[in-house]
Parts: sequence; C-alpha cells; structure tokens
Amino acid sequence: MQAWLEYVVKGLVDRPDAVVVTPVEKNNMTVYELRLHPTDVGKVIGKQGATIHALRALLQVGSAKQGKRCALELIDELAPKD
Amino acid sequence: MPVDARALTEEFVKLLGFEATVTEKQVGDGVLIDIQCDDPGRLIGRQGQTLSQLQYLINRMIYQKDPTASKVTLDVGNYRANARETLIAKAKEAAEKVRRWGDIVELEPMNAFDRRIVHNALKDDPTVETHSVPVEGTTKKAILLRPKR
Repeated sequence: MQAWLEYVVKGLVDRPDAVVVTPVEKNNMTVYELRLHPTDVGKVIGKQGATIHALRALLQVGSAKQGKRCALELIDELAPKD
Repeated sequence: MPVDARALTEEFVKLLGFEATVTEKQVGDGVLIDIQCDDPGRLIGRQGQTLSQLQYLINRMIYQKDPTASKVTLDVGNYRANARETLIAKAKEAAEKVRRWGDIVELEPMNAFDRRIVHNALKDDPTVETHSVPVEGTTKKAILLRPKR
C-alpha cells in the first residue's frame, strides 16, 4: 500500500523529493502519516478536499482487497506544537 | 514529453493490488482508458463512485506532468457503457409514461454527465420535452419530462 501511496502522491505534487510516508501501526490498523513540502499541501487536499477524499477512498479499496485496515493522515508541520 | 496515461493508470492499479490489463483507445472527442481486472466491483464502487475518484486522481496526475494534456475517461470492464445503456432505457421508459398518460415525470437527481445522456437520448423525441431543475441540498439536478405542446 505504501508503494501505491508514494507513487500517487509524488505524481500529484511539485516537490516529490519532499514527500515522506511513514506507516504507524495502531490497534490492527496501519496509519500512513504523510509529510509534504508546505506549498504542496493544498494540491494533495484539492478543491473541497476532493483529492484527499479520493486518495482515502482508493486506499480503502486497496487495503480492503488485502483484508487490511489503513488510514491516511496528513501531518501539518506548520501547526503549533503545544 | 507527452504523458502516457495508459502506463500511468496501469502502474496505479497494479500498485493498488489489482491484476489488470489496461488498454487505451481513441473515441470521438477523447481518450478512453479501459481497465480489465480481477474484482472489478471494488474499482467501480457504489454507482461508479470509486471509478469517478480513480479517474479524478489519474487526471490530476496527468495534469501535474503536463498541464496542456487533455483529460481521459476511465472505464472498468465496460461499466460506463452498460450504465449508459441502462440510463437511456430508463429515460425512454419515462418518456413512454409521459406519452401515455400526459403526466409530468421527474427523474431522480443526477450529475451533469448523466443528465447530458438523458437530454441527448430524448432530444429527437417529438412528443416530450426535457429540462433540468435544481434540487435542494445537492449540486445534482432532476430532469422533468413533460408533453410537448
């Protein structure tokens, strides 16, 4: 699933070199944390979230086929940490 | 460098875990990418929703590689062709009802793509006229069929 996610996200952004996908196991589920160049965040979300919704839907399809549970989380590095 | 939409789609569905054969063909106004795969139902989704999202992502990726490239249409195992036939049959059935009873018939809300199919299917029908009306709470519209005066 990770290879698919990297392939698609890298194909959507201006700075594919800055795309980092980190799988995190959380109670029987794989959460893919996605980090991007700050200028690419909007591209991956899309108008009204269309792109991120489509990514999550297809991730669901691929993981369900393999009998796994996966989720996608976009990590915003600019968010204040407290 | 022109974008190879076929190869891009093939890589996409294979990495997603599907066994697939992807072919490309020229149809009328554009390019149709056809995916033959195991488990087509999963790629199509409810009312073709997953297929639409897949097509959207592929077109985003094509645009990113070449903003001048034209968009492609995706199909999985003839789903689009069949859905189109079903829709045309439904439109003709509704037109028959209008002809027989003279009533106004309203079809369920549809997106612009599907409405175009219905309008086109009935545009040469001398007895009914069609037009779209907005439906609250959605961007979809419903088509009204009524007798031509």
